[in-house]
Amino acid sequence: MTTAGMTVRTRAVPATAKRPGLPGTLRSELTKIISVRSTYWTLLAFVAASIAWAILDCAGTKKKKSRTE
Amino acid sequence: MIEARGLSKRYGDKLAVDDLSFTVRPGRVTGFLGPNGAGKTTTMRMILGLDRPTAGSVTVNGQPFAGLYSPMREVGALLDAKAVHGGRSAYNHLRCLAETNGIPRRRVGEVIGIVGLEDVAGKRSKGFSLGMSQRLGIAAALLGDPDVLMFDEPVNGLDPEGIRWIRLLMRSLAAEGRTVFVSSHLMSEMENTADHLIVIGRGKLIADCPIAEFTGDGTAQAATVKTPDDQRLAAVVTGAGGRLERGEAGELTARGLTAEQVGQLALDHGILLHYLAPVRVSLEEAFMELTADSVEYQAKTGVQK
Repeated sequence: MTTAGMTVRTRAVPATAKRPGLPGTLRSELTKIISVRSTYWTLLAFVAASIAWAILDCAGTKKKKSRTE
Repeated sequence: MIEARGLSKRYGDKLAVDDLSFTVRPGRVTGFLGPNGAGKTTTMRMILGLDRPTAGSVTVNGQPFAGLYSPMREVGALLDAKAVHGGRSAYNHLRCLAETNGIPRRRVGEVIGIVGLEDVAGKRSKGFSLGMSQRLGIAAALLGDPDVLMFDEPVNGLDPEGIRWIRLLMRSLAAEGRTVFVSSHLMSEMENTADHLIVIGRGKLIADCPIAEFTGDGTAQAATVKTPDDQRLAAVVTGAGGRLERGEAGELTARGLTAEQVGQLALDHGILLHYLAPVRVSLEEAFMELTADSVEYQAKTGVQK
């Protein structure tokens, strides 16, 4: 293969002889997770659900206690 | 440079790509033409290692795609403009892609500028029009500033201004010495963009030639004329070995003679001409002729008797 006679273009992003490998992939996955709204909605729903569960649990315990008295 | 050698792909008992061999060279725009279902997208998918060829091989810059160290810096491709998570902004979409290939973040801003999406870069891509999605896909292809670029039907869904923009972009990318490989089923589009054509039909190579060769000699043996004196012109044209035909719309076509010859004849005999133009075989017609028997899903035109 020859590129003779063709002017060499200055590259905005130089070619590398090294793979970006696992760190690059992990950084990309992290960006994917934090860059969509659904991540935050899911977290919020999780927090709300655990508080709701705690309230229900407490209410149940209180009822049980008052019955044994 | 893309080199395919004996490339074949079989889906069940259907041969989608049949023994294709071609070379896409740098420094020019190569059009990849074929009717719908001819195997264009399958071929492009095999170039990118998304489909495994049943037989044969294909290399990009002398290596199979999977062997490239930093693929986005070597090959940029747009296959499906809608393959984007709708909830992610254009900027973040490009950032994810850049990070997988270790491309610096400033490049993301650069490519957004190149495709003209600055105003909507922060918006979620769910609300993008097809034209905007195409631009985003092109931005992704340009991210690694690669030497080889592939676009599958890039003008679909673009308005005339967008089509003009992409045509100029492809030409300038090729002028920088890159390999530009563009598929389309719109012949008229290729006529204004490509330097070289690879035409396939039913997975088989039909033509691999410069665009000028494909349309034949532009000096076809026919010319359209307008004259108030068609009786005499008809006689003169017939006398010179041609014939004058009246078309459906009432236009006159002199066949068997070039426009130069018709003009000379009219001058010699003192016949007034209001209009004279050579009939050029359009890329469309040449393509139709070539692929007439290789169209997969052909609509029956006319009423069966």
